[in-house]
Amino acid sequence: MYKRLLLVVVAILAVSALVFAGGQKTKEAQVVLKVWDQFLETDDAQAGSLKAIEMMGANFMAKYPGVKVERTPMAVEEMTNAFKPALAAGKGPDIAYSEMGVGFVGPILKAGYLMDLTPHWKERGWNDKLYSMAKDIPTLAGVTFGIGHELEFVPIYYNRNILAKVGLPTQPKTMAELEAGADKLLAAGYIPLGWGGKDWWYQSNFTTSMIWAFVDKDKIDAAMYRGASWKIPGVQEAIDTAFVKWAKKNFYIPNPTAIAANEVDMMFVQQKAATHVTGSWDINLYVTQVKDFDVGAMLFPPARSGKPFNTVSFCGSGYIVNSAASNPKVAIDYLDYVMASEEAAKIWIEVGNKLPPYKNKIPGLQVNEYLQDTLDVLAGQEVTPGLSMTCPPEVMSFLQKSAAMVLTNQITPAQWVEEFERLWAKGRAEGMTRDTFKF
Amino acid sequence: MTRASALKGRSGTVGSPLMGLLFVLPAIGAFALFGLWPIVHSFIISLHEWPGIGPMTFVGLKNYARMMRESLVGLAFLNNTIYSLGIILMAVIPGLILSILLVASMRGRLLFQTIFFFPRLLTQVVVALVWSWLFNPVFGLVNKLLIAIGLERFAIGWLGDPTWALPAVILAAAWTYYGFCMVIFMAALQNTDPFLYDAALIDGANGIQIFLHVTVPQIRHVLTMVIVFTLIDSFKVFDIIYLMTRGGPGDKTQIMATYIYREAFRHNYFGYAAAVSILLTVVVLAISVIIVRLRERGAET
Amino acid sequence: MRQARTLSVRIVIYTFLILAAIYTLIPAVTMVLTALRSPQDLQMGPFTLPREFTVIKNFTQAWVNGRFNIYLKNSIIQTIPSVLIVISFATLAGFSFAKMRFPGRSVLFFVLLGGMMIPFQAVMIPLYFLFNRLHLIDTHAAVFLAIGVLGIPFGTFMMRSFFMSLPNQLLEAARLDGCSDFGAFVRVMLPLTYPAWVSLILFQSMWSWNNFLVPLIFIFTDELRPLPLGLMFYSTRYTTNYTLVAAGVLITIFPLVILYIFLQRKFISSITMGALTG
Repeated sequence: MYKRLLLVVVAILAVSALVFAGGQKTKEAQVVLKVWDQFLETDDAQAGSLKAIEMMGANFMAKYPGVKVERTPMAVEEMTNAFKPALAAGKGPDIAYSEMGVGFVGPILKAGYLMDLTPHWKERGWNDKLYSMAKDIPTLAGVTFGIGHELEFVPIYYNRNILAKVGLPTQPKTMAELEAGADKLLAAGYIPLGWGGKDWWYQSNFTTSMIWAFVDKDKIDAAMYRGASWKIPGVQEAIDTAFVKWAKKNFYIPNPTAIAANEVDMMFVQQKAATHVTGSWDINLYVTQVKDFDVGAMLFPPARSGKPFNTVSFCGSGYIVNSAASNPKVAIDYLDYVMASEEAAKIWIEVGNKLPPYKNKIPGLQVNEYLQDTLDVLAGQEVTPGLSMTCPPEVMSFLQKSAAMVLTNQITPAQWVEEFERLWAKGRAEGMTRDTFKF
Repeated sequence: MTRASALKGRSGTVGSPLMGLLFVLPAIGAFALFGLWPIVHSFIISLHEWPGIGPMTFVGLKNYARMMRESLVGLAFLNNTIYSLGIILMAVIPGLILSILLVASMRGRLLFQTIFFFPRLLTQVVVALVWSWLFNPVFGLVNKLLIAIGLERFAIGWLGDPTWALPAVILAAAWTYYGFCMVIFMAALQNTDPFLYDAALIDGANGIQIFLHVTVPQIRHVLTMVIVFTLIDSFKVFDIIYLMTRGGPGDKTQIMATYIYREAFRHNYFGYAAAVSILLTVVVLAISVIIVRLRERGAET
Repeated sequence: MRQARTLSVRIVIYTFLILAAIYTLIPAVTMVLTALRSPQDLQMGPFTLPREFTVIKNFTQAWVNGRFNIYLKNSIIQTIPSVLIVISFATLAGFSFAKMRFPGRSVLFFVLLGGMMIPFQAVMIPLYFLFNRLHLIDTHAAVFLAIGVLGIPFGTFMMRSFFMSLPNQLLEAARLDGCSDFGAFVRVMLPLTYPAWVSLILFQSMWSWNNFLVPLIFIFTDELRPLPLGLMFYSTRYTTNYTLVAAGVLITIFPLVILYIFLQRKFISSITMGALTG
């Protein structure tokens, strides 16, 4: 009798294991398009893009009855971890909105899990309708595997009221002018640069922006795309200025290496920090939380007068397609609508506060003031795609922690350059950069 | 099994050898599959490079060579050691002191025990959250208290400070641990011989002398066990560091487990990460072997 | 140890204990207070005295929008099978090590001992590889299998110690009465294991419930997240609304704390039994 009891227990175990191990989805009659993206519902700052993508989904399903778009939203870090095993298990989505850096996408592409979209770019006319950056970034060894999406810019957002009060120009023309302005802000009792060095993206973005401001564009391009050395004039100066000079002058929120994103947001919203050194993805933060002051955008000025402004941009995330997508045509139709239709582009900008790579002019477009500011400020400027698009994963890691290292005197700016150069060379040797990648 | 054979000399045991094996089979089998084989497999993976997807490429001992060269491995190891010493200092010793105080107290023992043990229940995510708030330089209680009592110059950015980030994390971890140690020591103390105390008191010994010469020797065995258990556990630490500092600032709080995680899941070096995890396993097993030896020697005395 | 007699000594002792108790409780109390307040009230900082309370709202928001109802369900789904695995396998094996003889018993016991020392980091990559092959990544099974099986060595150890403490006469008496060996095990030993099972269940449940690293490695979609993982991602999203995070924290710790309050002694003794038998 007890033997049977034991068998029952084991059976329960086995059954529960099977029940919970297997997938929960049942077969549906219509075509289901599985999309993984990063538009989460619980995050206030993403509310706009969530609404936008849902609207687009509804419109798409209206245009294509018989197709159901099933979205699974997840955060960046989750996507990075989830995608590879899901693909390997055959449980990957049809389409994923993910980061497109070489380090991440490289191995996946090599293993053959991504659809080659080069023919579709031609057939669907994306080559004409979208900015070339949206194609260049997701292209490795001649294979275009995705569509780059949000054009994100990293200006310096500022509190108009404070700057006006202290009597500062809203676009310094050189770094020297910026520093002078920061000195004035400090004297007036404000935190000049709303930046914190604990979170990884604050470190990498700010470092990149500073390098962009100090180094000529063609030298950056040569180093990023053609393997030239990073030991070029300006790099060390940028690191020294940002993390030695300005730190000594107390331009940042006190104890910057312990300040995370929420504290930075808090300082800016509470008008203790005069500027917010973040990217255009934070526009939604201003829309929802900034009530008593105006926010403007300024560019990182060049280090010397006479040198043109050079702003870093990211087209870091975008849509990629599973080579084993159950219904490829439907997948491409979805992308064609979401990325290359005027209707969708309008929704992205007006509802989502995000800039899609759609080139053509859209009649009757209503842009929110913050986004408009950003666009105005960027009009006609030199823009270079940022490092995270092109650098090997170890360089990315380094960028995500090295600001704190210099700030806490663990390495000197000269050592920073050495290490940066060394890691780039290592990444190139492993085929982890845009130009060294091969199948 | 006949009555006759049951009455034969195998006292204290029951069942045939076959039955004995059958009983352990599920446990050993499952463990072999998910615990032992993976270690062997880990060694195999460490001889390859694998980016987490696609095929593995054989590279021989390249990962081990790299491990020897990377200063970060030694650094992480050092941090684990500092961590374990820190826990001993901030949790084991206080736990011992608290246990003595509690045994010496008359009232409220259960209440105190319940309170001190309570942090042990919490998942590390909660511990990291709460203590990150406490250490927050902008609104955290730690700095506010320091400023209130006039020690303003100590109100630093704790989790971003290259020297103090690790101690701060250790303090948070210790908060969950001293209650645990206390309870263990209390049980040990209750097995001590009251007559020895009386004898010492009669001889005129003061508190500290009693502590050192009467109490400690009697709980020596348990004390050793706790210290070694702490050492082993400290090398496995992941959660609290990952959640409070991610290994930062820079790599100042990087430990073996966070390093392994990063090399595999961020840098796509699964083979290399496997090699480092083999090193970690060897270290942990070595310490364990030391315990076993110590116990054997201790049992002889 | 004699209890302190002099008043001054007692005052010192109790002062120290009370201070230590306050130190232990402050983080918890802060969390509770934060969960009770409204975000506006919290503007002044999480460690100021609250004035405005919005308990229900905070908790419902965490429960529904924050999806803590789902995380709680997942924690339960991932904990129960792991406990069942440990209980069943460890009891059988523990009894065998304690009361049976078979070839290789000491070797296998040594293996088990080593098994208790293995850090999860040593097996996480090969397990990731294995589960990848078995298509178990991002399933509940990956979590409860890993946690359950890795809990077997310790559980076996605990059950072995327990069975060793049971007198052999019981077994012999049962055999004299005509029981088969298996029958002796089932009819005489098993009914007595209740206290040991309670301890083991508490121990394994706590370890499984609080586990962060295993689900971090094997679970990626929000739908399957257990509480610790869900709480972590929730806290990074609600970067400026600490009241919701605090509510989430309380939901996370609630089940274990309730168990703890009702079963204090048992809880404490089972968790510490580990270190003593180890």
